[in-house]
Amino acid sequence: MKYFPLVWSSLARRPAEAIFIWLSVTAGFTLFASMIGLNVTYERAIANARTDRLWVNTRFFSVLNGLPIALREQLGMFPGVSSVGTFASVCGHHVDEHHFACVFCVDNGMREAWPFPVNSLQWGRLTAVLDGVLVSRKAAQKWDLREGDVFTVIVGAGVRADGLNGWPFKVLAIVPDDPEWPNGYILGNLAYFQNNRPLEGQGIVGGFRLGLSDPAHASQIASGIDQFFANSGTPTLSISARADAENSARSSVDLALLTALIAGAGLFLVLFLTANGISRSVAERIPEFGVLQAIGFTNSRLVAMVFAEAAIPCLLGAVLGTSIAAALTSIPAKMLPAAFGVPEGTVSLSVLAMSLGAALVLASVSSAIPLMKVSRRHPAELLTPE
Amino acid sequence: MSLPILSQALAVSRLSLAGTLERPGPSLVIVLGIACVVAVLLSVLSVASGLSRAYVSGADPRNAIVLAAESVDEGGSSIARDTCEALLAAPGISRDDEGRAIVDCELLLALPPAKGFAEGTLFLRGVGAEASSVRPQFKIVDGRNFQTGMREIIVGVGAASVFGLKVGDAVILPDGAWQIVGAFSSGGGTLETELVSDAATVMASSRSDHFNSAIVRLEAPAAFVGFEDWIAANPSLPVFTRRQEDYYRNSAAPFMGFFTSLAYFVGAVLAIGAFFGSLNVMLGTVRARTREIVTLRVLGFHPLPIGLSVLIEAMVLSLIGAFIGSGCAWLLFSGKQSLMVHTVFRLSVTPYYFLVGIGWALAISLAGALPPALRAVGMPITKGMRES
Repeated sequence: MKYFPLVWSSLARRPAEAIFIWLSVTAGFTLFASMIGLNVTYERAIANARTDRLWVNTRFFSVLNGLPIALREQLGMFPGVSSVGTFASVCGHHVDEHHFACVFCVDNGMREAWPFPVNSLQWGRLTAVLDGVLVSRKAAQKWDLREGDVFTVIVGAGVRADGLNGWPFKVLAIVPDDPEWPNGYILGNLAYFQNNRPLEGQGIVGGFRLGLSDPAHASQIASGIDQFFANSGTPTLSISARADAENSARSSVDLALLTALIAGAGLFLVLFLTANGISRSVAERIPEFGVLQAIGFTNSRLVAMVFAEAAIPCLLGAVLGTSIAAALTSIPAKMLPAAFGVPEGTVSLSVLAMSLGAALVLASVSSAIPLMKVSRRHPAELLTPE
Repeated sequence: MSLPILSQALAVSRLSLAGTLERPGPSLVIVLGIACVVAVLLSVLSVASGLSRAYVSGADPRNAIVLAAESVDEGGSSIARDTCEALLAAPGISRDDEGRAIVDCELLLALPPAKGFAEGTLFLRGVGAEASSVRPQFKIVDGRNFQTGMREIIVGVGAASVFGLKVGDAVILPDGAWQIVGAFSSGGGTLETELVSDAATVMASSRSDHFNSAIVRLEAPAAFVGFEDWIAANPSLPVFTRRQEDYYRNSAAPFMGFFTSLAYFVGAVLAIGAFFGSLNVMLGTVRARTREIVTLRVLGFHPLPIGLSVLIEAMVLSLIGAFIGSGCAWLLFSGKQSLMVHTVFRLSVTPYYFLVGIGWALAISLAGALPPALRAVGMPITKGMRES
């Protein structure tokens, strides 16, 4: 700490250049933290996805097929299955065709099989009011919904028995978000959906969500279910919530690879800028290092000083860049339709820690070559004018 | 010294550019900084360009697509058989040699993950007798075409290469194993990412009685208006139509928008970093050249050519960086096959994007070199001599 004034004076020697390096480093770390933050979101979604829950869907998906609701009882009897929830989605657009919207309609079994963060009073209202929906905060914000509003989903021909295209839902309450639904959710009543389907579609649902008593056997239970229904008229495709989250992260775009490449480019830029700045600063102060060595400064102290000179702009840039990235997290999600499934980045303390770690590595690498030039030479050599 | 300004500028620029070799570190910072910006910008833009090309190349200006009313896309559309048959009576539809209207009603079936394509969705498209008439570029490149009524499938060249499927392989459908008997190309487009078979047989296998879409071959692109009006005038037909080109363009638009915005956002952030880097380097360069600059001024050189030489040096270095960055993006990504948004496409670094990269490089270098250039222009001779 007592050598801090020396480090500071070296930075303040050319304040404009020091500020420019810092701003460049900040830009690099803004990109780095934005991209790492997006990756963290995906990793969290996967980590949060539970292994004791299974999706059961139709094995061959086309627009009108699904699974018969009668499977609910059979699935409940499978060894290891503790609860069964049934779902069907009402999807279409809201207001105009550019605003894709879905209502996830569920039965009462979902409360136990795959609970949403809603209290028993709200759940009770959902089951009591046929056309009611519970809207999560993010979804309410997106669609500008409040309790008592009517949310109408415009659906394709043949979805409703009465031939109408509009499917109106009454907003019963705004409820907390769920990490499984990064863009929010709208929860509806399955009975309302079923009762309004054309006759041939009634009894057909989107699929099931199962709660398992033993997560260790999730894959065996899933393959057991699929084998059981393999030769039926409605073969199933069962997958654990964890595996589904992993697949979703790669389904549209391999964002992990894309973001890693961009984050790498940001760091590469920072490395060259800081390395050049430190190299020039050290080259201009060779005699100063000679004097310091002559008055007893050890090599390790000089190393620490030069490293600190590189580390200060890098660390400050990492802090400011990560803060800017945190302010920009919602931009990628806003740029894409919800169906794309890109959530907001998570610029958390762990991302800040990664940025600071990267800053220290960059400072070490960028100060290594200038340090070698200084530490390998005798004080007399350093003091001799070139 | 009576050299005109331009000659002076060239002479001083030659001097300063020769000096860049003596300052490899700072010069490299500009070159690599700009290379970084351009490489990332063009790489992400190549995704947008490739996706767009894949979507649009599958469209034909003489084709229209018919979808269920209020449906968002082909996947969410459901058209009944009688609706499909009613379309045959529409005006403006091209007819084949036997006088039949060229309308192909098709359905899509998503296949479950399996070995080879666990990470992507593979679609099976059931097509009718007019499938090749609505797609003139369709041709079998390996094996043979499927036979109607048989459990036979042909695979698009994109799907074959990405999912590792080949003639002789079997694909499991609800009624058992179907054999891949051929591979096809269709001049690019999303169809090449799919499996194709006979619609009636696929419908029987999947117990489906609805199509997803109808592809209509028009007599001429101009016939679309009459065809669209005819559909609108028939309220009993719960469908709407789009030009195939418009449909594909609209389908690709959100993804195009995302990747283009991402490219410019990422490029802009990196450009800010490169801008400050260039500014820093060029300020250092002007400082290092103080003695040279004041000497030139004493010899009678005008300040303007000296300032211009600073700008030219930065622009030359950034152009080198732009070429390196473009070259990296082209070598690493252009032509590379990728699977995204259920579509196999080739990343494409086009000449237009090269120009975009060069434009960005020049803009960054000019912005970064302008303040140092002004400093060089305004440098008082006496102060400069003292500083040097």
